[in-house]
Amino acid sequence: MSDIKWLPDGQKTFDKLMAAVPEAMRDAIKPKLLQMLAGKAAGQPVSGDLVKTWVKEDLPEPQRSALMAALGMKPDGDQKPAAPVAAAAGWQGNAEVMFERMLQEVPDMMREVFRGKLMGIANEKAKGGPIAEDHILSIVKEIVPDPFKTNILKAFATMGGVDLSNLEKLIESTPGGQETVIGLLHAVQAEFGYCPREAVTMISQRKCVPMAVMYRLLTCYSAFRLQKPGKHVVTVCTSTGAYVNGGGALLKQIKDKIAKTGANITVETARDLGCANVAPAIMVDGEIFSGVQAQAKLEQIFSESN
Amino acid sequence: MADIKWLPDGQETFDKVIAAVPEGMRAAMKPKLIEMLAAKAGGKKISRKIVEAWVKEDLPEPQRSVLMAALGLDRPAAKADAAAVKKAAWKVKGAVKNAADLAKMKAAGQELLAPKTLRITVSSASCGLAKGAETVAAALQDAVKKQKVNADVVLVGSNGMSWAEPMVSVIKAGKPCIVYGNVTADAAAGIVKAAAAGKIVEDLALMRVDSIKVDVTGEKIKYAADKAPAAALAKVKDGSKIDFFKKQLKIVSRNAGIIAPDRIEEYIGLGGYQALAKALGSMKPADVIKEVKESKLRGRGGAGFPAGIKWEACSKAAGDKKYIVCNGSEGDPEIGLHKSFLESDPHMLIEGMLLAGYAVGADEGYVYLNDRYVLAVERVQTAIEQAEKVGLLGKNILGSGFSFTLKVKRGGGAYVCGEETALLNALEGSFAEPRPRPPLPVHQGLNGKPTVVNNLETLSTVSAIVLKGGKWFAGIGTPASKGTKIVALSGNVARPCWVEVAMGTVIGDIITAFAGGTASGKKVKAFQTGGPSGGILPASQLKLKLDYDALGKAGSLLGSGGLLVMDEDCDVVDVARFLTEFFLEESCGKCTPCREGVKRLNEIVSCIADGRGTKAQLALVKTMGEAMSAACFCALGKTAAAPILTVMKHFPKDVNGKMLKTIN
Ligand SMILES: Cc1cc2nc3c(=O)[nH]c(=O)nc-3n(C[C@H](O)[C@H](O)[C@H](O)COP(=O)(O)O)c2cc1C
Ligand code: SF4
Repeated sequence: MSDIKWLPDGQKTFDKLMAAVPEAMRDAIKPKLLQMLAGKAAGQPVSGDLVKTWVKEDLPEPQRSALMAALGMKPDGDQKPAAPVAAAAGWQGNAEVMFERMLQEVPDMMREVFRGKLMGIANEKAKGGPIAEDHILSIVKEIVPDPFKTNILKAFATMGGVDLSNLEKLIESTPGGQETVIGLLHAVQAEFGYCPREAVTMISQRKCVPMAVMYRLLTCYSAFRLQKPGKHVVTVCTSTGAYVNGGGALLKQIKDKIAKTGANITVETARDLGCANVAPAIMVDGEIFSGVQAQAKLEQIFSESN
Repeated sequence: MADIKWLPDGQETFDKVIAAVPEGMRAAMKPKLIEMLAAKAGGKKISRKIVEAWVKEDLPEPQRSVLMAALGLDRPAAKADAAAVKKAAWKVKGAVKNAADLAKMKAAGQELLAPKTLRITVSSASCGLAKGAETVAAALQDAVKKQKVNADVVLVGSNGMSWAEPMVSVIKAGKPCIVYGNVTADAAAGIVKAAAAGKIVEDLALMRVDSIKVDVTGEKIKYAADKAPAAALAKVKDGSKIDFFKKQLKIVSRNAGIIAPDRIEEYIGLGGYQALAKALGSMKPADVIKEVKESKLRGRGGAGFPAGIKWEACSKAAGDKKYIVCNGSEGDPEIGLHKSFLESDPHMLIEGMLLAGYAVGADEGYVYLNDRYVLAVERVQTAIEQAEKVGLLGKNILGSGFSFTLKVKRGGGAYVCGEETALLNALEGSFAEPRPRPPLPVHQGLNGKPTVVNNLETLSTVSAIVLKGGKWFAGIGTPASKGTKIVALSGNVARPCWVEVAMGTVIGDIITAFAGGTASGKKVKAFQTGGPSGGILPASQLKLKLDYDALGKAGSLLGSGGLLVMDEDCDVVDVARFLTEFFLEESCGKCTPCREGVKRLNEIVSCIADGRGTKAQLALVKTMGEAMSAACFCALGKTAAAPILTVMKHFPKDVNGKMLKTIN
């Protein structure tokens, strides 16, 4: 394995390929595939295209077709070779990050096809020059349908920093001093999912509360997060009632599953969800679920967060 | 695979099923699923119905739920609709400037509660919502629209029967109210259809209710005509004759589950704000205090201090700015019993705070709520806005010259903020730490001004006392503990729930009558009252009465009314470890005996719970318990050793079993 040299897109393509292999077999198969690939590369650095050629030419069916599909390659029979994805002539500002962010909204399977198409449009807009942020923005606004459009635009708003305009308005409409800080922090966390430093600093300055005090408040109250959480936050009830009924099992089940799937989910516990009467309860992004509803909700967020 | 024949809709449905299988597993699972499906079809062509039935009947959980969701079988109505039911904000009409306005609004409220058409309510406190009340409400809404029935679908609170959530009640003119339990969205259409026809879906019906109490004075709204019930009705039990309600005495929680928390008219329809009108109209502040003193109402938040005496002290304190603060910290890791109540009837608390403000001469109040109680914060906020809109909060209330403003504040999440001085710190935006006392809050509380801090149940009880008199209230309960108490049952119980019972009710009876004993069907081994600092008591003490003094003498406390049940298989030493760990997490660190004490205590108790205990450790736990109860700054530290100490006292066998055999 040490004798494989990767180009960045080669590594990426290979990872995608591995993701398409059923989980249970992944570990067993990986060394074999690497060995085959190394043979194909014959000492050359492995590019994305090489991985694709290898899949197309060397793999046996049915794996071949399945993996070709997973890599977004056209199935056989289609005589026309897939149009190569044109490269951008260059990027300005955050344009490349924005372009990638836009593609994230496309389901895995179709992403590569879209990449080519959208890149073409972007190049057209840029008229051969480097692609600017405005070009991407106009693509999103003109072509992308909702709800993806809204999601993407929202993501753009906070790109490269934290958009504090809502907080600014809120501070202006909240008279008072330090007694308003906890409420403001709740609002910050509701907007960002955690308390970003920029927001905390703004409150500190406007309300004339030293950062040291802000930090102590943020840490002595358990409601506040200083780190950005995952895509979803699951809070598991650890009330005494739930504990007596073996509530630890659910927490463990969720943690294990996250460890296994690498899902982008943050797990927290709370002793006072106030719902031990429907235990074991969980809170997902602020909404409480129990029993069958809880299981179904968990399945849903796991499938979304992979 | 060749032997399967598809109908087009069957193929389509099956594709949906496959799409819901995680990608990585799809190829592997498909043949297996088809095999199962073929078996189900038994040679017939596969239709959508067969696929759906197969998912519903044959698949194991959790796959079943997931796939049902994927096929849209669990929720006929879109989630967006559900949000619409919730968000369709209720608009209050009219103002309440005097007693006549109040009477008018009372009539309007009763019209809503017992309309000439049809009222369908869905219990939507957190416990109901957690079990899908929102989708049920949406499905009902949908059915009402589709069947063109003229009905008011209302989100109400919870009546305490948590195990039967979500519940739906149907109120039709001239008929008794029918309450359905464990309702799913699937059942909604049937319920609406039956309701419109004046019929009953018998297998879902929990009970019927013939009348509801308007307030504590004995006035009632009769739902049913007084005739003998029809044949179909006879099969549905009369709610007032079911043990669950018969054995309760509902004073504070009497409206919960009946009224919509976001319609002030409905609270007023059931006699709401009458106590306020009475106090402002015909009583001096001192008279209100006198009634509360006479009622012998004691604080429901833990310490059990007489509310009247606290109010009197505050009213006498020097200063013209005073505050009323409601303690809704509810940090006990048990059940959040008041949350459900508050989500069901927020106006009861607001009226109590108004009365407290009038009695002590305060013009500003704060409702401090646990940071997890997002829905309760929302509902209290809505209630405050409505009271302001009609003029029951604000300036010159009911033309009396008395003014009062109220704000709700969400806490930051720290158990110690339940302690009243730490709570005041939190309200001021300071750290979660208790303050030295004296000065007492009634002398120097919020912002250094005289402040009454009361538990939310204490405050919610006051309106009934003012309306019916302190003597009446003092006639209920035991010599040391008057009135009623909300108790929440959790842990190993067959039917988790919350109930309101007269003080003096025997604890064992509460467990059997309301919660149906243990969930496992085994004997009760231990129980704990009063939250984490309460003692863990053995089954032999089940005959104890709900009473501040009796529980105190037994080494526990009434606390805020949690009742945790453990069965024979429960490892009580491990529960004590769990609770010690809770104190370790929640100690604020202000004082050394607690900060260092809980850490060491947790080390020792964990060691014992793991089966590596020594006699020396047991002796040390005792000494530490004594030292901490003497030296800690607040009750959190003072009582942190209570769980392990009571376990050592009452369950010596369990503790002995955890001793290291080689040393001892
Ligand atoms: C650690 C600790 C936690 C407490 N938690 C609560 C609570 O959650 N709710 C409450 O009403 N009182 C709580 N108390 C009691 C309060 O300090 C205070 O006695 C009570 O709010 C007074 O109101 P009452 O007289 O109406 O009971 C707690 C006390 C301590 C020491
Ligand atoms: S006893 Fe514990 S919680 Fe109370 S002040 Fe001391 S350290 Fe803080």
